[in-house]
Amino acid sequence: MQKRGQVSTFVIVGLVILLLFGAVYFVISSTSPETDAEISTAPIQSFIQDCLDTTFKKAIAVTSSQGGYNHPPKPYFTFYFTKIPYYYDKEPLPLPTLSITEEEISEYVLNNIDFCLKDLQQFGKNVTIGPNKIKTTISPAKTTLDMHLPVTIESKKSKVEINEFSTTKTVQLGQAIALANDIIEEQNSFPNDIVTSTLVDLGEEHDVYIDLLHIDNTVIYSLIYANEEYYNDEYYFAFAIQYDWIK
Amino acid sequence: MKLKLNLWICITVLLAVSILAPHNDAHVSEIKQPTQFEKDMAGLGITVTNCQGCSFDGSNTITLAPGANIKNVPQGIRVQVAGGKVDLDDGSEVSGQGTLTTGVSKSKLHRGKLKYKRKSKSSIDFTEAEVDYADAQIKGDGKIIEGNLHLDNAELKVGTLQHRISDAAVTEIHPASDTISFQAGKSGSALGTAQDNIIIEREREFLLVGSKDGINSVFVRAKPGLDLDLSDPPSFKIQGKPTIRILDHSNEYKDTSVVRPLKLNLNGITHLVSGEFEINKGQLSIRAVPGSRKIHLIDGVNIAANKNVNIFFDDQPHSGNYLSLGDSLSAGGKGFSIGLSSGTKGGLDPHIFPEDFVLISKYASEMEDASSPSRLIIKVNDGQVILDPKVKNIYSSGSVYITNGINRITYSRQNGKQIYTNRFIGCVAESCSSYGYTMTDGGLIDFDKRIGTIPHKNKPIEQTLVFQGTPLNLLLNEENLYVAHYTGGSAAIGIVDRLGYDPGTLDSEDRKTYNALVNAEPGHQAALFFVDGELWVTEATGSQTVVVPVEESLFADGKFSALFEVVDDQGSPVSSASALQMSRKLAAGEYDYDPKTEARHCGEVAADIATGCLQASKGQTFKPRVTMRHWKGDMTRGFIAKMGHQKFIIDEAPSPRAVSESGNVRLIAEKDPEGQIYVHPKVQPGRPIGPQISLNPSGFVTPIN
Repeated sequence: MQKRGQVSTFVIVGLVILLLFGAVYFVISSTSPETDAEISTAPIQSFIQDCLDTTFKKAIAVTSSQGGYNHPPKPYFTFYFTKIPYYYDKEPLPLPTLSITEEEISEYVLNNIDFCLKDLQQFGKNVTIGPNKIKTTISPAKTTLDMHLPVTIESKKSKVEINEFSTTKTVQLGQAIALANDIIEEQNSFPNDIVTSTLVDLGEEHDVYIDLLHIDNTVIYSLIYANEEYYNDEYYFAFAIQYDWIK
Repeated sequence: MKLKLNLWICITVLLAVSILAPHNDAHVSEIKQPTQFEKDMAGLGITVTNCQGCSFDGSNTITLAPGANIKNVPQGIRVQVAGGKVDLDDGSEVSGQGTLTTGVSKSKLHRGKLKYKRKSKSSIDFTEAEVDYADAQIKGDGKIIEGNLHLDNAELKVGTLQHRISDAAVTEIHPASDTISFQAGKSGSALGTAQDNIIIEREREFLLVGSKDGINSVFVRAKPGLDLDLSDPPSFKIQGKPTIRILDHSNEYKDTSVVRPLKLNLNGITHLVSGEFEINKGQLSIRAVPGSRKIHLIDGVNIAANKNVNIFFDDQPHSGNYLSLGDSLSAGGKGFSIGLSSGTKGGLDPHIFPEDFVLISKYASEMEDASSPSRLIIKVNDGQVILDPKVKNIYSSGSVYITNGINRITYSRQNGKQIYTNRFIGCVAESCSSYGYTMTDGGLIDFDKRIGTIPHKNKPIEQTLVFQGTPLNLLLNEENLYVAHYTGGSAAIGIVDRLGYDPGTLDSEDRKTYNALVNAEPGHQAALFFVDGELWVTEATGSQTVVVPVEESLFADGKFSALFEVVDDQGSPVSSASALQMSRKLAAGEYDYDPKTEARHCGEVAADIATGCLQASKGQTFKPRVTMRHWKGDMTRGFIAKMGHQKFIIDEAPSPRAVSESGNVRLIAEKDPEGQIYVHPKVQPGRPIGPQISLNPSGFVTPIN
């Protein structure tokens, strides 16, 4: 009789332990993201898209403020935190081509998008990203960035991959590069002067405000376009010309 | 035989002697008694020679015959020289066809020729005579007093120097340099004819210098006995159209190192000048001294020139190298520079204007926030400029270099197009600030910001408007906003009455002033702008605000008195793009010029539209302001009016005057109550469109009939 009683006690204790484990499992399983439900990719995609949009906008702003470069080649004029490349110094210097600027923008995005992508961790450890590939395309009125970024989101029951992202900015980057080329071409006629009348004509023709900032023998040319997407509703593209004014 | 031979010899000798000496026999045979003339002359102690035909009237007049010669003429004798010669006691000679009168202390010669022996120190007056004095030839009136020559009015010639001079004493003659020193007489010396001359101040010492080109130069020395710094610079008075040069006096009259200018009174108007000038048949010009870096000054305008520059004071453009001064400054030609400054310290340019300036220029008012005097240097190089301080614009065409403060703008024409470039040139002088001038040539340059701005579009449209009965062809801009007023009318009466006039109690003189004030006071005003190429008017008519074509407005029937262009704070035209929309909003407003009502005044309507357009295009506000610059009331009321500009701001609404005298409008056409017509050069038809300046910058034109 005593033996039967001991067995019952063990059974009860075992049940209690079992119930406790069950309860713990239930609690754990109810708070874990790994559910068997369908994986929702929309928040992650939206997050990455926002991240890309922001980084792309910055990329355009930075490269535009540095004459189409993320890392301007020498010679350049250091103005606060920007390096503004010289386009002309007694003679024309190599100007960035569209493809160079496209690569520079891509490079900026590639180097900087991780700053915000790292926050993907908030979506859990089962989100992984692979090496990304970026391609920027500049046209006169807009600039587009296509990014191949393998994003994998896994759950117990499923695994989702997002690869392609794209963003487009309506920005006059392409026009600015072309206009900068026109200005430099005109500069040849008066190598040591600001070709003011030409600037006025070009400004009127292209509906752009051309601001000149003069520091010693350097003049920073800012081509300022109306653009609601940018600070103060102005998008600007800057380059510098070196003059031989002060000995 | 020998005796016979001797006899023959004697006879032969006698014959020979008789043959060889008939003359002596005749002389001996023709000796006669002295004539009465000779007796008279001998009685007077006068020695005569070859005086056949000479005569003496028995009292005191001797008349010589040609070739006759007399000397030792006592005092009180009149000699009609008549081709003879008189040897004066001092060694001088009188000849020719004149009359010599010997006097106690001095003789007088009328006409004839005097060869004066200078060492004699004798005295003689002469009129209409030719006088040889040292190395000088004189023809005219004058006197020699104890050897010193004084010209009353005579032509003087020394080498290449030849000049007519009045009231001047000759102090020294330098034939080697064709130079004569003078002391001006008590009435001042006149160099030239009675009608055309330059007058040197009385008792000033001056030099006259000849030149191979026939134009003499004058130079006035500092007053003797004074330090140069204390000696007043001379003044020259030009009458008529003389020809003479005024040499550079800048080294003679300096206060420490600063040159003090001379006064040049040109046909009644005094100008302050320094440098070298030439007056050729009355035309004043700067005489360039190539390579000398000489700076010429006229009325605060400094000129550095490699070629002569004609100077005018008529506000009109001219051909060749010229500088025209008036309300505006215009210059054209090639190879000279103009320097202007709001101060005098600091050389403006080490190459062109290296030294301090003498005078502040009226064309160069200093900007309010300037840290140093301003500088403006204009170099014309086959181009033209018009500098209008009233509207603070500089119009330019052709090839012109303009340095404003620390920047230089270069205008040039290439392929028929006006090109302008800009560069920073820095400044090492004390005068480096910029002027608030807008450079206009189709585009605009903002010198303060050192940027070229997008110009207001120029869509010229020719429009004939009738100004108080006079039609004027105007070249307006379809894009611009205009305001206009006409003077007089009931509103003008209401405004003038506010200054304290009581029309019922005025005497005839006050009534005259009152009427003049009413006739000059803007009584109605409106905003004007183009709609599809047609000029429309928004105005308060007395009962409402309307938007109508000009011919249906209150300005119909030739009532325009003045037309203004609305400009922004920088003087650039304002777009009328918002005018129509603004006008439609206002069009229902009531009207009354009575200040006690809240209805809209015509000036307020014009100002509101101007404000709307200014805000839309420039983000600025129209600022009505009364300057009273045209105020012609009596002194007391004028003072009151100036002190109380609010008289022209009615219930915070501007009167027509407050709009017309605002800094936000620019007068472009006017017929004033005196009938004077003004048309701004930029709206004169015929002016080339685009980067050209008018050939008639003064604005004064002949109205079309």
